[in-house]
Amino acid sequence: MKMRVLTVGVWLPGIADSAVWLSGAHTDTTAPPLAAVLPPMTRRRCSVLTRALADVFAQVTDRVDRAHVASVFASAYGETAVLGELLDQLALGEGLSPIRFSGSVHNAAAGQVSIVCENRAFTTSVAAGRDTVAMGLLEAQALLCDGAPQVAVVLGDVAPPPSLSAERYGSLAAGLLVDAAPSDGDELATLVDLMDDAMLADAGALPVATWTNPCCGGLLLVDTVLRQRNMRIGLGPHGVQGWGVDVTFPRPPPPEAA
Amino acid sequence: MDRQPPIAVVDFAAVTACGPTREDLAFALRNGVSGLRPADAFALPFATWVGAARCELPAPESDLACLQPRIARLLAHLLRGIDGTLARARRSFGDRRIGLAIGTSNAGMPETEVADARRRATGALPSHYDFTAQHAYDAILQAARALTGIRGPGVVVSTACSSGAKAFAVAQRWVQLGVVDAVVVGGVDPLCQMTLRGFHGLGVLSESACRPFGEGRDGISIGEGGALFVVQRSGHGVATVRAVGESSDAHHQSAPHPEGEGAALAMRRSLARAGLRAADIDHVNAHGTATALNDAAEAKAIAQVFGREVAVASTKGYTGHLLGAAGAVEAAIALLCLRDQFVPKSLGAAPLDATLDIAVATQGRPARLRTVASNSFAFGGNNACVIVGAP
Repeated sequence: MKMRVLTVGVWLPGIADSAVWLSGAHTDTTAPPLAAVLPPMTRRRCSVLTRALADVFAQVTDRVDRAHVASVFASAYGETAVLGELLDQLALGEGLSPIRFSGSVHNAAAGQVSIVCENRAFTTSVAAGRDTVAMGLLEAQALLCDGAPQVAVVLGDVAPPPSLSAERYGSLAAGLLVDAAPSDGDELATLVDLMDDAMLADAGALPVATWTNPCCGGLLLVDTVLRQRNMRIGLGPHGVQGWGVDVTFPRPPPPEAA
Repeated sequence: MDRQPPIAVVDFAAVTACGPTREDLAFALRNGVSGLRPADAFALPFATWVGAARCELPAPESDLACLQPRIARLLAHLLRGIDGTLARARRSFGDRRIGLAIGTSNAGMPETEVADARRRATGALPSHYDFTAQHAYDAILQAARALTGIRGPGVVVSTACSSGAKAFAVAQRWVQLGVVDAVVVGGVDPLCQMTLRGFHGLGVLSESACRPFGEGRDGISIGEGGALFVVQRSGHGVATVRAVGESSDAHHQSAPHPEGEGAALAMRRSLARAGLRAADIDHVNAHGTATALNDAAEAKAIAQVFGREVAVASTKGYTGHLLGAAGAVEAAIALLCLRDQFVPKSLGAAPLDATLDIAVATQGRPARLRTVASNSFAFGGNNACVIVGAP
C-alpha cells in the first residue's frame, strides 16, 4: 500500500520548522519549542516533548481541518522528563503534583492536542523502541486502509534523565501528513513498501547528536522527503537494521502538447 | 472509518487479584468474590485498597534484563496460559506473520522506583538495572519476543487506561491490512508507588474497596495483572472481536466530559463499525472506576447509546482498576460472561446511586448473551469501546 506525504514538520533545539532545517540556520538552541498551538497556560505546564510533538502536529496539519484529522503519536520513551520530576517528588515524600502526574502518561501530547483542536477523531500513542518510527507509520497505513482520509504521524523523543540512563542524544520531533489517494502530482513524496527487511538506517548526513535518538529515522525520513532523494531508507536509529521504506517522488507533469 | 471485519479470538489468559487463571476470574465473577485487599505492602501515608495479582511470579530462567521486571513476569505467566495455541499459530503462520500489540501504562515503573531510591541512597543505580531493557515501554515487546520467538510487527499502545482496549483495534487493523495472520494482543500493568500516589494526589483514590456506581462512592482501587489473547483473521475461535470504537473527549486531560460525549461517541462508533444496533448489545462491562464524575458521565453515555435497560456492570470491584491492562482484562471478562452466559454482580454498587439512569446489575444472574460491549476511558480524554460476540 502506498502513502502520499502531503506535508512534513520538524523540531529540534534551535530548528523551529522544516524551512529552518533545510536552510541550516540554527537559532537559540536552548529555547523550548514554541508550541503556539497550545494556550499559554497549558504550554507552561507541558514538557519539552509534549510541546515539540504539539508543534510538529501543528506544522503537518497547517492546511487541514485539525478538528477532524486522525493522528498517531509515537515515542519510544515518552514523558521521561516528567518521570524525573515525579521521582524527585516521590523521594522527598511529597504528594505528587496532579498536573505532573496527568502529564506523565505516554499520550500526554495526544491528549493536549485533541483538547486544543477540539478533535474527537481517532488518536493514539504508541511505542516500539528502535521500531517506534516504523510502527507509527504502520499504524497510519493501517488507519488509511481502514478508511481514514488522512493521518498526521508525529514522532519524537527526548533523552531519559541522566540519573537513570547513560543514553544521551539530542531531542527531536518530526512528522508527516499522509493519505492513500492516487498521485495527483501535488504530494511531496510517496512512501512504498514499508516492511521489516533488515534495512540499515544510515543517518550519517544528520547531526551526530540525533543518531541514537529512537526517532532518528523520522528525521531521516522528513529530510529525505524535503531533499527529494529517491531512495530506500532505514527507519531505526543510525546504524540499526530493521524496518525500511522507499521514498519516491511524483513524476514531473508531461509538457503540454504544442 | 469503514465497517470492520471481525477477528476470531482463539484463546486467552488472564491474571488478576482474583487469581492466576481466567477460571479463577470466572469463579470470582460468578460468586461475587472481590480480590481487593488493603495496600499494606506499599507503606503509603494514606489508606487505600489494591488488587495485587494473586499468582506466583518465579524468577526467569534467563538472565536477560528484559525478563526481570514484574511486568515481564506477569507477561511470562500469561504466555504460559496460551502457549499451546500460540505454538499452533506459529506452526500455521510462521513467526514473521504473528504480531504483538500490547497495552501498558506503568511498564517498568516498579523497578525504576526501586532503582532510583537505591541511587539516592548509595549514589549509584543497582548494577542489574537497565533503563532501556526494563523501564522503556517496548521492554515488554523484547520480553515477549524472547519468550515466544514471534518476529512480526510489535507495538505498545500507551494511551493510559484505554491502552488494553485499543490494542484490539491495532490487531484488527493489522489483520485487515494483511501484514499479519495472527496477533498476540492484550494488556499488562504492574502496581507501583507512582500511580497509587498520583491518583491519591488527584483526590480520586478510595480509602477502601471501590464501589462503582454505588451511592457515596469515593474513588478508585488500583489493580494489577493483565490478559493476553491470540486473535486471527478467521478460524474456529472461542469468540469474535466484532469492532472497536475509538474517540477523544477533547475536553480535559484528567477529567471526563461531564455529559459523557466522547464516551458516547466511542460506543456509537463501535456499533457502526460492527454493523450492529444498540438493541443488539446484551450487556455492558462499564469502565466504572467508582469516581463520582467518571461513573456519572459514563452512565449518561450508556443511557444515550445503549439505552436504560441493558444490564451494566463494572468489574473493578473484583480486580481493581488495571490502568493500561484494564481494557484487556475486561475484554476477557466479557468473553467469560459470553461463554458462561451470565451477567456478573456489579460488586460494590449496592446501594445504588439513585441519580444514575441505567440498569446496573446489583445481583449476578444467568442471561442469554450474544454480544457484549466493554468500555475503557483514559487520561487525555482517550476512549475505546470493544464489542465482542459469540463465535
